Amino acid sequence: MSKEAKIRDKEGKAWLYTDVVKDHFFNPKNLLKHGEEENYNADASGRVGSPACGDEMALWLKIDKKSERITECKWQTFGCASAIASTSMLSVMVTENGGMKVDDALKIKPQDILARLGGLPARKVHCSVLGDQALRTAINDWFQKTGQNQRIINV
Amino acid sequence: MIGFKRQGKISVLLMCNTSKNTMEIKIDPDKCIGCGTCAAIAPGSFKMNDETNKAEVINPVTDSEETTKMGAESCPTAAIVIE
Repeated sequence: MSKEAKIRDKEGKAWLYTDVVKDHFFNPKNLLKHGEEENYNADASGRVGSPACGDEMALWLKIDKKSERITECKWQTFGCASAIASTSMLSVMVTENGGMKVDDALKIKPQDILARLGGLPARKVHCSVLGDQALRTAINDWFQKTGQNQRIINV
Repeated sequence: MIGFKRQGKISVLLMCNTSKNTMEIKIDPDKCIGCGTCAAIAPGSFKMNDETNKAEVINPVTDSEETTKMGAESCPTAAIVIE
């Protein structure tokens, strides 16, 4: 279980997101630039919104059909620092080391992303769930497009 | 020993572990906005009701106490209270 990070120190001055969160917020990985989505040849995509804060997340996947490994994971969001950092980290997790198999990607828990980020404040955890939900929606889209409806899961 | 009781609109789950710990989980349906974070963090404690789109406590809870608490604390509207 990841340790909870505090937003402020006792004096209310410091910004105590972890360095990893800050890095992924300021330098998001695998971001699909605005305007590129039309020419991006994705095998599957997913879009979810959060009723909690109005955030929206869109995610695109390229999946090797034979090995079922995720070769590319791109995303865009109207979201906060936590949503950006969490989804950036998630996109790294599913594509590193030759890419994760879709079945393994579906096993990723929000806690796994939080652990890699070094924690988020409890009240910001709901933002980190958005990327995970978009990934599941995109994988379901891939199941549907490849005629594997029996593998579709609850998002 | 596990039991349910209703206090107005707030559903309450009483849990008695084999240890002395007793957790009471309350979800306020007026506060719950159906974002599903609790169920994503603690799928053995909370589930989303497909008809009402509100969170519910799973009976019996199969998560560790730590996971249940994390799921409750992650609620953006603080609709879940553990006592």
